[in-house]
Amino acid sequence: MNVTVNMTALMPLIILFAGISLTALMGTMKDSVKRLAGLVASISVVFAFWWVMERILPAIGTAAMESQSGMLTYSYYSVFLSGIVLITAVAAFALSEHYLLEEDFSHPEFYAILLASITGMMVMLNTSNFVNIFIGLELLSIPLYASVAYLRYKPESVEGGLKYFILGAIASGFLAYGIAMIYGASGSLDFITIVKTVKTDSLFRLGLLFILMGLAFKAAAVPFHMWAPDAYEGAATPVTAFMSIAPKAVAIGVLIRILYSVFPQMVDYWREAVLVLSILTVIVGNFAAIVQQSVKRMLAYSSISHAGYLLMGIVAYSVEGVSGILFYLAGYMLINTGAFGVLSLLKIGDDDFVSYDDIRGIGYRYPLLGIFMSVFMFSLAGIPATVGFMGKFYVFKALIHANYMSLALVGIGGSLVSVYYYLRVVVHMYMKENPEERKFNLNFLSMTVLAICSVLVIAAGLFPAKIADIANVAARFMN
Amino acid sequence: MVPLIDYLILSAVLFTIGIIGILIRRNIITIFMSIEIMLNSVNLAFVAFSRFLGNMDGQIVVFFIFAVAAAEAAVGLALVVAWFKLKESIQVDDMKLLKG
Amino acid sequence: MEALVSFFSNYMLYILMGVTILTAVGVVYSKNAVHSVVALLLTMILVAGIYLMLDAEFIAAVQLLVYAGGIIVLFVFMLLLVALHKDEALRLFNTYTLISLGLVAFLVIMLAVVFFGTPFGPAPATVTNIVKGGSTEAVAGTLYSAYILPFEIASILLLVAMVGAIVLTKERGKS
Repeated sequence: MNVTVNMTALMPLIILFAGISLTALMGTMKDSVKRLAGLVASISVVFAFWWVMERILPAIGTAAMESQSGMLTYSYYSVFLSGIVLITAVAAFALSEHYLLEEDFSHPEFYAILLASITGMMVMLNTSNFVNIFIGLELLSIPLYASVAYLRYKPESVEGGLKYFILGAIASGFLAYGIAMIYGASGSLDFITIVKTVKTDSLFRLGLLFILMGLAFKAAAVPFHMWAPDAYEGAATPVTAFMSIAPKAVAIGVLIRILYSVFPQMVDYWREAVLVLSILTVIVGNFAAIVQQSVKRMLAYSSISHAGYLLMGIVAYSVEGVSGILFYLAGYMLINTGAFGVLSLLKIGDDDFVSYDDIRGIGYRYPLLGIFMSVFMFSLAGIPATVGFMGKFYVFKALIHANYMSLALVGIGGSLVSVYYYLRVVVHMYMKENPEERKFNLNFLSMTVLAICSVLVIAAGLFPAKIADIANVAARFMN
Repeated sequence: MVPLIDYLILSAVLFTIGIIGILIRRNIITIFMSIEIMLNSVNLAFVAFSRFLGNMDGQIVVFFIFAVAAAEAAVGLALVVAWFKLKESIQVDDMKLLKG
Repeated sequence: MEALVSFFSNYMLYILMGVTILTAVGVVYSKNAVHSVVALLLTMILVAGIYLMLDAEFIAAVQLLVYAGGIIVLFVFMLLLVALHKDEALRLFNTYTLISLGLVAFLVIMLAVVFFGTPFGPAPATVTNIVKGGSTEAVAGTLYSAYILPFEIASILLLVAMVGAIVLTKERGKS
C-alpha cells in the first residue's frame, strides 16, 4: 500500500512534539533551566502557529490540504479553529507563569502535559478519519485530567481531576462504541467513504447518537456537564481558562464537521437531538450560575451556558450559522482568557480569592484590574459594542434566517438572565466596601495579556467585519 | 459460522454491565475496572465487525483502544494514589467538597 | 474429528460467551475489590478467546499481554498500595440506583433492537488480505502504512500518560 506523506502538513505536530520532549526533559535539569520551560513551550506553540499560517494556509485552496489519504486534512475551517486553540494556549502559558510561581509549584512537566493536550486538539481538528478523532480526543483528555489534578496537595483539585477522569472515560467509551457502529454500518472509518455509503438505517442513527454524546461531554453540554463545575473550580485558574475555551472549541468544531459533512442526509434526525441539548444547556447553565457564591464557579456555569449558544448555532444548519459560531468562538476566546486571567491574579500564596465577598472593592484598589474585569463581564453578558454581543448577534441572526425564531428567543432570554449574574460581579467590585485589605501581586506579563484581550474585545466589538469575513470564508470551506 | 449478531449482543451486554458497575459501585478502583469492561465490549464489537466486513480497519482501532486503555489506567491510578494520600479513602461518597 | 470441529465452532463459543458474561458480572458484583480484579483477569482472558474465534490472533495476543500482563498488574499494585481489605456494601436499592438501572435497561434494549433490526450479511469464508499464518501480517501491513500517523500519536499518548503520572507525584517548593 502506497501512502504519500506530506511533510508540510506533519510539521505542526512535529514542532509540538519537540516542545513536549524538551519541556519534559527540562524537568531533570538545573533550576535555572527549569524556569525557561514556559518560554520553550510558548515558543513551540508560536512556531507551530506560524507554520500553520505561513506554510499550510497558502497551500489550501477550495480543496483541503491532505497527507496520508485524509489522515491529516487542513481546510480553512480547521485552520481557523487550530488558530484559536494555539492562541489560547500561548495566553494560558503566559498566565500560568505567575500563578504557578505564586503557588510555588512550578514544574516543567506542567507545560509538557498541556502541550500534549494541544497536540491532541490539532490531531482531532485536522483529520478526516475516525481513528484520528478517537486517538486525538484521548490525547486531548488524558493530559487534561492530569493537569486539573496538578495541584495535588489540594483536595478540590484532585477531586476535580478524578471526577473529570471517571466521567471522561465513560464518554470516550460511548464515543468509541458509536464509531464501532458507524464502522459496522459503513465498513469504513474514513469520512469521505462514509459520506458515500450513508443511509439512514438505525445502526447509523444509534452510532451517531453515541458520538454526539461523547462530544457533547467534552463541550460540557447539559446533561453531560456534571464534571465541569468541579473540574473548572478545582483546577489552577490558567488551566481553567484553557479548559473552558480550547476543548470546547475543538468539540464543537469537530461536531459540526461530523454532522454537516459526514451525515448531511440525517439532518432531520440530529437536528432534534442538538436542539434539545442546546435548550437544556442554556437554561441549566444560566440558572445554576445565578446561585453560585464563587466567581470562578459562576464562570464555570456560564461557560456551560455559552456551549448552549454554540449548539444553537449548529441547529441553524447553514453557512451563516457556522460562521456565527466561529466568530463567537474567537470572541469567547478573548473574553474567557481575560476573565479567568483576572481571577488568576487574585492570589496570595496558596489561596485564591475568587468568591463574591473576596472581590469587594477590587475596582477601587486596583483600578486597571477593575476596568479589565468590567469589560469582560459586559462582553460575556452581551452588552453592545463588545465582541460578546456581536457573536450572539450573528448566531441568533442565523437561527432566525433558518426559521428557528423560538429557539433564538430562548437564547436571548438566557442572555438576559445572564446579565444579572455578570453585572453582580461588577457591582461587587465597585459598590461594596471590603473590610480586609489584601495585597495582590499584579504580574506584568499577566497584565499585558489582560490588556491585549480587553482592547481586542472592544475593537472586535466595534469593528467586527474583518473577523466576520475570515469566519465566513472558514465556514464555507470545511472539506 | 456463528452469526455476527451473537457477538454484538455479547458486546452490548458487556457494555451495559460496565455501565451498571460505574453506577452502583462506590469504590473508585472497581469503577475503573468497569470502565475497562466497557472498553473491552467496544473492542469486541470492532473485531466482530472487522471479521464480518472482511477488512482490517476494525482490528487497527482495537490496537489503539489498547493503547488508550493503558494510558487511562496509568493516569487514573496515579489520580487514585493522589486522592488516597489526601483522604485515606477511595470511596466516591467522600467526594462532597464541591457539590452543588 | 469432523464432529468435534463442528461442536467446537458452534457450542463452545456460546459457553465461552456465557462464562464471559458471568465473570463480568462478577467484577461488578463482588464485594471485595480483590475478587473483582481476579474476575476482571478471567474476563480479559475469555475475551481473548473470543478474538481467536474471530480469526484475530494478533489482537488476542495483545489483549493477553496488555491487559493480563499490564493493566491487571497495575490494578493489583494499586490495591496493595491503598491496602483495601474492607468489604463494601453495594447500594442496590435506593432511588438513584433504580433510576440509573432503568436507564441502563433502556440502553440495552435499544442496542438489542438496533442490532436485531439491521440485516447483516453472512461472514466471508476467509478474511481478505489474510494469506497464511493468520491475521498478524495483515494487521501489520495496514498499521504501518495507512495508520502510521495514529500509531505515532498513540506513542505520544503513552509518553504523556507517563509524564502525567509523574506530575501527580511531584514534590513542592523545589523549583
